[in-house]
Amino acid sequence: MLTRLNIAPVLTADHLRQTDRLARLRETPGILKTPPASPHIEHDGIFVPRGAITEISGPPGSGKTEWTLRFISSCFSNLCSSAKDSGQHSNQDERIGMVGSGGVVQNRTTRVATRVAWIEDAFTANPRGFAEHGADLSQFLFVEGGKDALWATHQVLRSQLFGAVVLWVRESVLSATKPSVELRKLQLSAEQAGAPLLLLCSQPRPTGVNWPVSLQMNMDPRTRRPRILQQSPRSEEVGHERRRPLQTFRTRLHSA
Amino acid sequence: MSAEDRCRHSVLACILPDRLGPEQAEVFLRFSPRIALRRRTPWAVFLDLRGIRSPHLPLKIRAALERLGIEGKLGIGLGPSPGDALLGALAPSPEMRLDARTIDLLLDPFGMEPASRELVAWSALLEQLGIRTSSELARLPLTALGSRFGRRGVELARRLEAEREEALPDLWPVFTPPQRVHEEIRFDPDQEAPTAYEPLLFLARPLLDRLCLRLRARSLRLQSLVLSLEIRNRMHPTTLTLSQPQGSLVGMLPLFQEHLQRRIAEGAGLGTSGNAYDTDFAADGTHGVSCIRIEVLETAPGLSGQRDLFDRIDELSESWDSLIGRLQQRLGPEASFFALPTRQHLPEKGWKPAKPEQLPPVRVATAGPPGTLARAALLAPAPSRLLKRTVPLRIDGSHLEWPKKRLRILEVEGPERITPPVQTAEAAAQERLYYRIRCHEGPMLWAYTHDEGPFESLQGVLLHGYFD
Repeated sequence: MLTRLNIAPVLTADHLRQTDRLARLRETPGILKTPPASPHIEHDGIFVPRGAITEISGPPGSGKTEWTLRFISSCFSNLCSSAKDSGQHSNQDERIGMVGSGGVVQNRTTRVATRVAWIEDAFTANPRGFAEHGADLSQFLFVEGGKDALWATHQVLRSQLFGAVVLWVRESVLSATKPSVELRKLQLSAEQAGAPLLLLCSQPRPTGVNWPVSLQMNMDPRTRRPRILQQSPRSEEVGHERRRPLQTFRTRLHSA
Repeated sequence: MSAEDRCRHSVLACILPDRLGPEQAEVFLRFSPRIALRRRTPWAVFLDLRGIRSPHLPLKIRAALERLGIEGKLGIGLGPSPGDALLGALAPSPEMRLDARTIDLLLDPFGMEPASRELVAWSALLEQLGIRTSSELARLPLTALGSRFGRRGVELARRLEAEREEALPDLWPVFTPPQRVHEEIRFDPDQEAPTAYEPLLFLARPLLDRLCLRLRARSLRLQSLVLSLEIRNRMHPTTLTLSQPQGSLVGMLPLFQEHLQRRIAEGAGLGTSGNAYDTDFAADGTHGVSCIRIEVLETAPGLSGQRDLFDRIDELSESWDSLIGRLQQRLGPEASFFALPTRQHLPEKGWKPAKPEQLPPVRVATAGPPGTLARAALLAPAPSRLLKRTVPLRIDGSHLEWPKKRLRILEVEGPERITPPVQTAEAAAQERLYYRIRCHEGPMLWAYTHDEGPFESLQGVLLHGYFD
């Protein structure tokens, strides 16, 4: 026998349709239908691949940190302006605290990606100088990793909370293990996170077959501008066809 | 006190220990389901004994106190109202002199309000009026209390007034012992018990998962736990305290994994510690773990039970806590931070680290170049790299030397004068003159000196940073 139980009312699709939240989301297609992110971020005429390693080398004082800061600032100001153009702004955004002082809104996918992780093995960065170069300090999570700097980078990438990750390590930290293996692991993590990993180092690394660095740049100390040493053709497909190598590998296994 | 009296009247027992934790207070639930704790000095436990028929109750309570190792006074009061019973419990003898502690307990038995100076003044006033004992206080006309002593007097009158019997029970904060959440898995002696890290983790994982689920259902997150492994019929408990509370297995598992790994490495799997854990488990691989038990020690408020389909902020917040927890556990609490600019004039003190948990997991966007630190328009920005220790430089005409390098100077900009905000003689000595030195080889350096003069003849130049 069925008995009438005191159960809380069930939330039906009709209820959902009536909520102003869903209605608002329907009206703003930018949120429900987020366009696929571009596989590159363009700055200073250079296309920095997302989800891949970009190596910026140069001796100390050659301007690689400053270039990286400019890249981060321009990259995220583009995100802000694109969100502004799409007009994703409502009263509810103000209520839930998504609106900045200038009224710029970032949608739910981009607002997460505005954090930057700045990892160094021995911390020499001057955050005050970063701010004076136009960086927003609340955007940066600084990590002094010591000999665990690579481990920290993996953790940061795997969390998928950051729009960009910068790693500044001495050669000795990378050379402690097999650099190509370490870089390959980092590349996989960066691919999974879909965020650019900028590797700052003093000397450009010799490249080889299947080298995991997609874009290799060297800073000219006199002009303080980067010049591209090598750009992997693989970086072209990063972002859209990220899973292709894995699928190929699986197919091979299957056929074997 | 007869059983009939106990049924008809209010009966209160009051225990005044030196200090009491919730675990100890739990014991008194066997005497009465309604107990209340006062969690500040003077510490107190109140037991509502109305309707409880046990002639040997005081003896039993004293025995329990002894077994718990608690030293403290026990008083049991009987009266037509809870206020009378409270007075009777705190001052058993009618001629007992009322001290400040008793008055504090009478006015605010459950420690709801912060201790105030008003209380001291009130007790002094009572003494001036010649009211020193509980019997004198009981005889005091209650209507006059309010006019004489204001709010406190009215409050006391309410407690003592026989007609307002419901006043105290309404205030009574019923003590509920914290619920224990634990999961346990026991292995069959016939089966092979785990003797290594990997199988142990494999078996502990579902326990953790269940714990996280149970906590989530209560909108709680895990703050600390006790992992106990039974080896050779002996429990080996270890406590894992998380720097950030975790609400899901995804965040919890890496921390647990690392804790377990470290315990096994510490336990002298390597033969270094010589502790029981070591000898029982790691060194002697033949004896496996016969039981794994995980118990929640502390929790923190967590997410609401209903998942938000449209906003991932709660999930992000969890991922953020999980990441920060992992970084802090492995690298130390100071290794991951946000930087906050300060108003200090010295470049090395121009920022201070802030804990990541002080900032929200999701950054709110701002217009334009956000957070740009204002600096005089004419001044060039500070360098992006600062050395932890300054390096002395020697200026040799158009060259610059330090222990291992010699660079040719191409251009010098400066000096930029950095002085303390207050102008004193000492401050003048701390004044620094900063130069941007562009070298022919490329690097741009930031060096300072305390002396003025032409750059080529400067002495005591210190390299402080570089524009990387």
